[in-house]
Amino acid sequence: MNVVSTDATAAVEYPLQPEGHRPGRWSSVRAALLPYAFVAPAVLLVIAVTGYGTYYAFEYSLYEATIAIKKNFVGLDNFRDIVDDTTTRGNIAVTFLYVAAAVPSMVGLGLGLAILLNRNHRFTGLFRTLLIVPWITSLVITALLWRFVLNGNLGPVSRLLEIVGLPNVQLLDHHWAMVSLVIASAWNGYAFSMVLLLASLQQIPETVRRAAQVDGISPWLTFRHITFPHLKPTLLIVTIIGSMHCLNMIELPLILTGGGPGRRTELLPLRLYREAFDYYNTGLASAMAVVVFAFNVVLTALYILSVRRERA
Amino acid sequence: MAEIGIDNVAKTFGSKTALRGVNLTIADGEFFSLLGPSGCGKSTLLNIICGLEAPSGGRIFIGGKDVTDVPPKHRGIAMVFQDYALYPHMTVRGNLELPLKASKESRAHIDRKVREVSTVLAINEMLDSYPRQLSGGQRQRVALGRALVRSPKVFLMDEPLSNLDARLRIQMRSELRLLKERLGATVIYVTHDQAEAMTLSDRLAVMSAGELQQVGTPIHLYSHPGNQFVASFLGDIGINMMDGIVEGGGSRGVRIDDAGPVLTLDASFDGIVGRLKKDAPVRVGVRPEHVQLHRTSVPGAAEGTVVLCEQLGSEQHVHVRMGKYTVVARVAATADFRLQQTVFVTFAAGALRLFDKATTVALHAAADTVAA
Amino acid sequence: MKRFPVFVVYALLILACVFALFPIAWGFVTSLKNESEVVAYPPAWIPSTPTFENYANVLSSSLPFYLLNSILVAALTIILSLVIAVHAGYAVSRFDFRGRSTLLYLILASMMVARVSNVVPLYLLSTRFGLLDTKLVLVLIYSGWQMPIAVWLLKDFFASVPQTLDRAAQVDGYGPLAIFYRISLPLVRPGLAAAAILIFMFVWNDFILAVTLTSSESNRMVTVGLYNYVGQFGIQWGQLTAAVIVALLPVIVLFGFVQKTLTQGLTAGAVKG
Repeated sequence: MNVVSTDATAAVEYPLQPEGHRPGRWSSVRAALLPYAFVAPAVLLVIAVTGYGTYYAFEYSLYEATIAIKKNFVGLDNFRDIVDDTTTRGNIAVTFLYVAAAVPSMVGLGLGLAILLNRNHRFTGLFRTLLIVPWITSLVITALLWRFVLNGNLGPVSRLLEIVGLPNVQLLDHHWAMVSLVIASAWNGYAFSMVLLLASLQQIPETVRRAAQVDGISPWLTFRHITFPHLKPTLLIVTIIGSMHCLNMIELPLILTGGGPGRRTELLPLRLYREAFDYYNTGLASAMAVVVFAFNVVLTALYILSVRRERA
Repeated sequence: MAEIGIDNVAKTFGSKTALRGVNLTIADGEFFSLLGPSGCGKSTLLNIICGLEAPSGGRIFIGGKDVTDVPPKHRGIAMVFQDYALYPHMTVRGNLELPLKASKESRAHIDRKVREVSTVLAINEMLDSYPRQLSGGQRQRVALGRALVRSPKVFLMDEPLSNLDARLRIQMRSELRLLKERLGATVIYVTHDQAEAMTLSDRLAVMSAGELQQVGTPIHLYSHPGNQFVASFLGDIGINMMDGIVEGGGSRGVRIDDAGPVLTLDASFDGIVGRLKKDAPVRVGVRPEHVQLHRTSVPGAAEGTVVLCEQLGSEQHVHVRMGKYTVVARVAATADFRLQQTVFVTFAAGALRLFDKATTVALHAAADTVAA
Repeated sequence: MKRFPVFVVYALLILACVFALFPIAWGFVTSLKNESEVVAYPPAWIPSTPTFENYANVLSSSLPFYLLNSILVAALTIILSLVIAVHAGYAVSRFDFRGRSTLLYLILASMMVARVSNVVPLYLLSTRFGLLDTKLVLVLIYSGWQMPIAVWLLKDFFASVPQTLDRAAQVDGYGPLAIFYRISLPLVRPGLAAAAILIFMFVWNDFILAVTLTSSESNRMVTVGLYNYVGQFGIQWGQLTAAVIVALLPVIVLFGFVQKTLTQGLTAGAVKG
C-alpha cells in the first residue's frame, strides 16, 4: 500500500463537467446526441444571420455591385478605392477621433459615478435609478433630444450660455459638432459602464476596505492598490464594449448632425450606410463593412483574451 | 438480499486516476462507511455504486446482480446528498412525491408512502412548506424522507451531515443510526469525519489516493491500523508519531531519534521480533491515551517538559516536549500539571505501533490480517 | 472610502442627475408648449399655457400603431430567442460534449460581430428570400443577433443551479429531458426574465435594421416612426417631443419594475466569464 499526498487527486472528485447524463454504458446514441439537438437551433440561427451575413459582406466586397445585382468581379478594387479615396480616409480619421473622445468620456463618467454611488447613503438607490435612465433611452431618441437641446436657434443650452455671458455658438456646427456628438454619446453610454463598474465595486469585501482603514492606508492608496486593480478587468471590458459600440455608430451622427458640417462627423459606418442605401454602391459599402468588421475582430480578440485571463 | 459487490472498480478522469482497482464486499443490512480526506475517491466510488458515473473498469453487483450498466433508478437504491439537493421550486410534499411519480406509482400509493415517511421523520407538519423555509435539520430530514419513500434496499449517503452545525450533527448522527436499525437496509455512508465513521459504522473502509487503505470494524482499525495513514486518520486527536531505529537482531530495543528514549517491544511483538532487520528505520506511533505521565522517575521512562495543557472538562490533553518531539497525553481532567514542569513519560503495554519508514506499512501487519 | 464629505458626493450626484435628466425634461416641457411658444427665442423654461394639443396630435397619428408594431416584434423575438437559447444555454452549461468550448468561443465572438457590417448583406439576403419588409425577417434577425447574449446569460444561470439537483433527480428516476424541463428550467426563471428584458430593450431601441429592412407603414417600428418626423417638412418640435415622450414612457415604466433584474442580467451577461 502506498500512501501519497492526500491532495494529489483533490480536483478529481467533482470534475468540472460531471458526466451526470452519461452515467453508464447503457447511455444510448440518443443521449449522446441530446446536447447537439439542444444547441443546433441556436447555432443554425446564428450561422444563418451573423455567419451568412458576414460571408455575404466579404463576397460582395470583391464585386462592383448595386443593390442585389453583382456586376463584375473586381478583386480588391473596392478596398483600393477605400485606401485611395481621401473622403474615406477622412471618414476613418473622424471615426478614430470620435472613438478616442467618446469612449474615455463614457467610461470615465461611468467610473466616477460608480465610485460616488458605491456607498450606502440614503438616496443612493434613487440616484442610481435616475442615472440609468439615459441608458434605456434609444439612440434615436437620444439624438432627437440632443438635437433639440443643442439647437442654436431655440435650444435651452444656447440660452444658458447667453445668460452666463458666453458667446452663443452653433453647437451643432463647425468643430462644435464633434463635441456635441461626443456629449450625446457619453450621455447615452455612461450608464452601461456605471452599472458594470458599480457591480464590480460591490464585490470588494467591506472587510478589505475596513482593514485598509485600520492599517491607516490613505484613501488614494486604497484606490490605487485595492480598488483599481480589482476594477481593471471590468474597466477593460467596458472599454472594449464601448469602443465597439462607438465604432459601429450610425444613429447619433445621422440624426444629430447628419454627418456634417461637411463630413466632419461622418463616421465610417454612416458613410457605409449612405453608400449602400442612398447611392446603392453595394460593392463599396460591403468593402467598408469588411473594414469595420476587421476593426471589430481586433476588439473581439482583445475582449476574448481579457475574459479568458479573468477566468484563469 | 442487498449485498453489494465491488469488483476491481477503477475510474480515471482524463489523465487523473480517481480509483485504482477497488475490491470490496458489503454485507446485506450492514452500515458501511467510506472514510477518507477530500479527493481520496470515496465520493467517486459512491457515485459509481449509485450509477451516476460509469467506472472506467470493473463491475458493480447489487444483490448478486451485475448492475454496472443499469441506470440509477433501476438499481433499487436511494441517495442522500451533502447539500440535500432538495428541489427548491417544490414543496416538501412535492419533493417526497417526485421519486414515486417518476416511477409512475398510483396516487393512493404515493399518498400513503408520503404520509408514512413524513410521520417517521416527524416532518408531516411542514409538507406544504418550501425547502427555503426550513431549518438545516429539517431539510436534512426531508432529504432522508425523499430517499425513504422508494423503500430502497440500499441507501447511499454522501456526507449527509456535514452541512449541519456541530451539535445538530451529533444529534442527527444518533437518529440516523436508529433509523437504520429500524429499516434494516444496507447503508453506504461517505464521510471525511472519522468520528462519524467510527460511531455509525458496522465496518468502514479508509481510503486515500483512490485506493482502499484498510477495511474492518471501527475498533479494529483504530487499534490495529494497517499503515501509517490509517493510524493518523483515525482518532479525535492525532496519534503521536516519532522516528526511530529498531535495534533488531533479536534485541527488543527501539531507539527514538535525536537521543530520545530507548523503548522496549513488549510481548505483543513476539511474533515478529525474530524477523526484524538490524537497525531498520521505523515510525513509532502511540495513541495519546497510552501515554502515561509520572511526576517522579520510573524505570524506562523518558524525561520531558510540559509545554501546553488543554482542559476539556471531561479530560485533559497535556503536551510534553521530549527532545525534538512533542508528545500529547490524554489524562484525567483533574490531573494537575503546570507549564515547564518536568515529567517522566512511559507508554502503556501493547501500545506501540511500528511502521516501516519506507513503505509506511505496519510492522505487525503480518500478524493481523488487513481485511476483517 | 471616506474621500469626500457627504455633501460633495450629493452635489456631484445631483449635478450628474441634472445632466442625465435635462434632455428628457426639456423634451417634456416642450411637448406641453403651444406651437408658437416652441419656436420662440429665448425659450420659455415653463410653458405659459400648458397644452396637450401635441399629445392629441401624436396619439391620433400612426405612432400608437408603430408602438404596437414594436411591442409585437419584441414579443415574438423574445419568445423565439428564449425557446432556442434556453436549450442551448442548458446544453453548454450541463453537458460535456465534443466542440463545447469551441462553441463557447464562437458564441463570445458572434456577440461581437458588427451589426453595421451585417446590415447590407442582410438586406440582400432578405431580398433574395422574399422576406424584405416583413415583421418575420426582423424577428429572425433580432433573434439571431440576441442569441449569443441570451445563451451566455442563461448558461450562467443554469450554472448556478446546483448539479446535485440533477443527480438527485436522476436517482429519483428522471431522464435528461424531464430533469431539464421539470427541475432546471423552473429554477432559471429569473434568468429568462433578465434575458427577456435585454432582448426587449434591444428590439425596442433598434433603428438601423428596422429602417433598412422595412418600408411599408404597416411594418414600421417606433424608432423609424420617430426618425420620420425629422424628414417631413421641417421639424415639428412640439409634436416630435410629445412623440418622444410617448415612446419613452413604456420603457421607463417597464424599467421601474424590472430595474434590478435588468442590471443583474446585464452584469451577469457582461462580467461573468
